[in-house]
Amino acid sequence: MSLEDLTSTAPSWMSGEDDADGIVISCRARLARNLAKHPFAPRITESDQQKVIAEVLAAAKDSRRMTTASYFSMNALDANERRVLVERHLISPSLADDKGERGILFNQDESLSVMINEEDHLRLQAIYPGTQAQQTWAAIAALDEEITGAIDCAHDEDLGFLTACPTNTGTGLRASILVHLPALVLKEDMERVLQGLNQLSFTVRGVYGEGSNTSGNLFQVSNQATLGSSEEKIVEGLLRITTQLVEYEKDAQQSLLREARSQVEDKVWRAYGLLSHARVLSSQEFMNLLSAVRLGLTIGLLKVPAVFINHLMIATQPAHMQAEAGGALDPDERDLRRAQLVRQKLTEVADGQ
Amino acid sequence: MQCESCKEREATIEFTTVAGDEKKTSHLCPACAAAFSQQQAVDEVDMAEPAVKPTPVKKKKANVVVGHLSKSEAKATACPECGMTYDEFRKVGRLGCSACYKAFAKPLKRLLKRIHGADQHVGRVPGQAATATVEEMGNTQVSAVETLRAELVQAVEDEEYERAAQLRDEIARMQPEEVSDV
Repeated sequence: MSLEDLTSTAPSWMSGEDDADGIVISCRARLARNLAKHPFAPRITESDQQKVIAEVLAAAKDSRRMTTASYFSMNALDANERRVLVERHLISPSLADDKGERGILFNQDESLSVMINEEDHLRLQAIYPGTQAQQTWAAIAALDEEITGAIDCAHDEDLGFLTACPTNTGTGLRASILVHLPALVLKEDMERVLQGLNQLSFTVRGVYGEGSNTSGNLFQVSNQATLGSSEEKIVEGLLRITTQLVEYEKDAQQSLLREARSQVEDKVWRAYGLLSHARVLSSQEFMNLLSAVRLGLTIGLLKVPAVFINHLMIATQPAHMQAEAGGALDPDERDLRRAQLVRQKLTEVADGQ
Repeated sequence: MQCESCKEREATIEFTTVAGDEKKTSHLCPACAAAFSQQQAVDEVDMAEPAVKPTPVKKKKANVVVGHLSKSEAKATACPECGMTYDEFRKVGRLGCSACYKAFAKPLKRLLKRIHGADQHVGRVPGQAATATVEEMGNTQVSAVETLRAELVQAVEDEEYERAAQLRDEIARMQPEEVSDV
């Protein structure tokens, strides 16, 4: 598998399966692990990093789940290629931008991946579509059994898995969902929801992980604590909060439709119109319009498939477009190209109906 | 009122943080409040330990009761493996190696309790099998496809092209919604 092939395919988590009518886009589980005999990131040397990579790849080689996996060393990729991987949720911005020997191992449909030498020696990740939290957990638990079982892992009887940052100690599990909550935002109910989630020990972040702002009414909700609960309990907790959020959003949508149906329909169709015909689209405007289209899909106004919307969201990201264009694009060129790509794809989907 | 952080959006959330004895209230918009509540978890690690009466190193026993280190002890206590001091850990927010957990056991215990509300691990050990029920749920269409893909790769390597073609067709049947030219 080469990186070029990557940009023309959609990862399996984008399929739109089990997405609660477009509200829950995907579910992710991440496990942080370290090798016992090598220092953590703040003290690790390049020579140690190479040893870590060798040991992890050796353990992964025998893993049944990683047979179709490819390894990419970050230093062997250029900046745009690394950015493509960030846009696909395969690596974090840290892994892309840090120095040192580090890389990513991921399988063909991008459902399973292992970051090597990011904040911890290993970061296992599973991403599945929609509300499939149990499947996500099952996949990553199996991967964990195979890989972590084959290395000398830093683990303590009392404290669990030892991680560089104490915020990950214990299970090392961060389970999250990516949700679309346009009605809650429109009804200005998000602060109440955010406060409620915080009280239940869930954190809420923007689309691309730590530190980013929310965009297109997309929120990533994840567990806060990693120590003191079993992994299954954490996943169950996430499932419960997912059901609740879906309920709140659907209620908010129904309420909006009762109060202002024509305005909502107008907003959806205007967004569809703009996306179909605009000549210039900034990424911020695009995300806002796409959110309205997603809402249109959820309330049954539009028949655009969820997988199409999801793939469009990634295909219009800067690094993806630059990869397709075969070179760097300045912001104006990107905005032009984005509009062009969206018009083209929407025509294809419309024709197909 | 304007959000105190981004100064762009409207502040609709009163965000209160507590650092030691200090209580600070900010007015934030929902997006910044969300970003800060995540930052809080990281900041907890950087927070200075509550003020302690300076204790001479000899009287370590008194510290056991209190459970945290004085400033001089934070500088003095170092991990025997990687040399990181607790002071450095507080600045960097990351530990140097697995031995640090033993070297800084007492203050870390308190810190973990603050961060997670617990200081005892309840969960997996390395190499542990996934539980039966969860494993069952794991037999989804997607993992079946991955197995087939692996066999396809092997068949091509073994130059069994007929078998490879069969596997390819079977994979295509299992994933009708796979988008290849969007």
